[in-house]
Amino acid sequence: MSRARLLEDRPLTELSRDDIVEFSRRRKEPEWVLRRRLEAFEYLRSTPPDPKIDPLIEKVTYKVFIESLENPVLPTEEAIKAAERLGVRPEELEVLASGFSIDVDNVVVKAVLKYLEKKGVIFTSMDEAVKRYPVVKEYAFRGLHPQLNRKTAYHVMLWAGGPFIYVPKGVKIPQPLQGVFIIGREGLGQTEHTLIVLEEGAELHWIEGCTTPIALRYAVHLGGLEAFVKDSAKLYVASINNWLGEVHHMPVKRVVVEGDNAYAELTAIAFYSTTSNTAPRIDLRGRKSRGVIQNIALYRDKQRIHSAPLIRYEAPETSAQILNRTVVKDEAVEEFNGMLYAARGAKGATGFMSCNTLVIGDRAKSITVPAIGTEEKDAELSHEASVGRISYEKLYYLALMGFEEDEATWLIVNGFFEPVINKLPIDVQIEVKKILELALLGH
Amino acid sequence: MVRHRPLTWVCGVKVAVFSPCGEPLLTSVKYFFNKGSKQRLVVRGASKMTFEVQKVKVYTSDGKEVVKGVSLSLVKPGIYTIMGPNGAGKSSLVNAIMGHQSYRLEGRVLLGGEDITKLSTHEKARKGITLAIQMPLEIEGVRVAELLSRIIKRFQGVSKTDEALRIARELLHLVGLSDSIMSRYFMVGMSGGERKRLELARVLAQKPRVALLDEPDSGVDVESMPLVAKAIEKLREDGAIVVLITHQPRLFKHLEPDHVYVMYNGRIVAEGGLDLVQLIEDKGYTWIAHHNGGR
Repeated sequence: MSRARLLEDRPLTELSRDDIVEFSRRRKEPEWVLRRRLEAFEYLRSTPPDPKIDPLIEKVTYKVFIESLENPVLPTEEAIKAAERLGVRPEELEVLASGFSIDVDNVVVKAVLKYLEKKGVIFTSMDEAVKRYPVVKEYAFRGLHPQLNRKTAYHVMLWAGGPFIYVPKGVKIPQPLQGVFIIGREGLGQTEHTLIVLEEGAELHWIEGCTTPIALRYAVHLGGLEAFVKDSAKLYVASINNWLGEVHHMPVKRVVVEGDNAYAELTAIAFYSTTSNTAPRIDLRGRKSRGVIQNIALYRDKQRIHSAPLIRYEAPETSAQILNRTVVKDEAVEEFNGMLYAARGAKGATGFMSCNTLVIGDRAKSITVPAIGTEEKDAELSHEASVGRISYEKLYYLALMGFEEDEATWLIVNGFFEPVINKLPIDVQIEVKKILELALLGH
Repeated sequence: MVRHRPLTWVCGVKVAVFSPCGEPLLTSVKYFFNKGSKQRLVVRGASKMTFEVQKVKVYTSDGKEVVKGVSLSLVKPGIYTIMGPNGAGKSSLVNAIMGHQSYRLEGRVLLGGEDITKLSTHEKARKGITLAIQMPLEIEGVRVAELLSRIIKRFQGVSKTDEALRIARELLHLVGLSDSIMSRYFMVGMSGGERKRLELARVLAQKPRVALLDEPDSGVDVESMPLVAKAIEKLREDGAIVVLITHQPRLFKHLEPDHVYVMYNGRIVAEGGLDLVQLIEDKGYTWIAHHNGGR
């Protein structure tokens, strides 16, 4: 039996060092990328398996993984429909497979690209970027470095595709840029890597939509996003996830706010996945820099969710917020362990964590454990948490107005999310409302 | 006068107009030509609306009998007031009629002759009966404009949002609320008086055939009282049977009820016109109950 054949049948958790070397060579990557992959491999070999991560990745074979990378799914009608479910108009569609590609034949996309090019913005796929732009080497895998944790190590070892966005000094991109990642095959481990670098005074809204065109029997989403934000730059990231079928959502995200007076906002909007294990992180390293992590989610059926956002303050007068607003219904179970941590040097840091959960039904559960830590005595960090249920009185009141229970629940849930959704870019608001309606009313 | 778009044409002559819940609404149809000589349909007079409560007893979830056999037969539009002291069973009666889960109702409730006793609350609402609750609840994150326009679209057969919003604004003006309230979350942070008036605007938006109003005047300041009265009057003008619960005669400075019932200890013990209100002011409920033999 040939070696290649053996490799193909192997699960992703059992790849050897040689397999990684071969994987990187197949992709014709520069040496430094391979080195990062191998560092991740070594880290995985030297640390014990994580019961929440490894068993899920183990189910994906190398064969399926590589096939989806080398024979990407073309934008089929189903994929387009899936993108539309995320609110992306077909003419804006620039996708697909597990990675990221730009459809240069598209008129709208062409115009956008021309505009960006004129401004000195680089907006291309990571596969291309690692070969063409030296600046990538300077930043890639510095935030999501291979020794951060096992999940990140798997991501670094197996990443493929994703966008690279570089915004030069002083350039403010007026319209949000948007990317869609679609898992279009069974058993696929989607591992796109998004790298964003904002130079001094730059501004960017990045919206990423992740979805599946059809209900999948099994898929893993192990995408990654890392970003670096310089002095007075502003970054807004909104990720909208709407999965169908058995999809295990375990992305890795880290934003390093390096500059003074800089701002970073990470918003995750999640409407469906079988399990979700997220731990987005912002590091505030610039004086007076600010960070916000928002999570807006509707969990249902038998979903198991663990979310652990972290904002780490490392510079004076930094401020941050973590907002978690979720609805848990059916038999879903949510565990929330957000943390604000003021490290030494974060003098005068301020922060607030707010967790509000609405529980629908008797079997859904939400366990919220917010944490606050500080090494600086003058840091002012606080949190509040509330878990509520939809009262019968409210359903009765809305029934008096002619709303049946499903409609009334939808109205209440919509209203619960409204104050947070209301602050998102208008495109995202429309998408989210559409997905919510689909999730709660089925139309 | 009820004006509705015809939903069904038969042979180009006969027309059937239905309420949003599918009930025939017409007794007579007339055509006339307006300025542009385009044919328009004018519908005059709704079908004979009746609301009957037959031998209704209401029990709380712990089995306590709070309404001990009440019968009402309201056969024409008007304002029918039920007055009585706290604890007489007035709120229990109307909430039980609407199907609140805390009550068990025995007896029958008929709307236009149809037995609606067993229908769920939203089905009853869609049949054309609703209740203005005593303490309107906050619906966080849902704007007044959104909620009212949804209601107007459903109950008034309006399909365009602009038109629904225009109607909503008109209703708010009627109860003395300004346009700015449209963008506020429903009832959130509003004063007692604002809530009561918004609640009446909500009921008006449903164009009910039967409106049960549970103390729409409580917590309303003197200046707002005429506005509350105006909204109730509008319901009567629109051809609704209004069942108005109150225990304060002060509302009748602005509004004349068609009939007054006195409820005491779970029973209707007296009925009459405005003179009965005067008697309540003079003698009190207990006196009336005892001098009418606890009927």
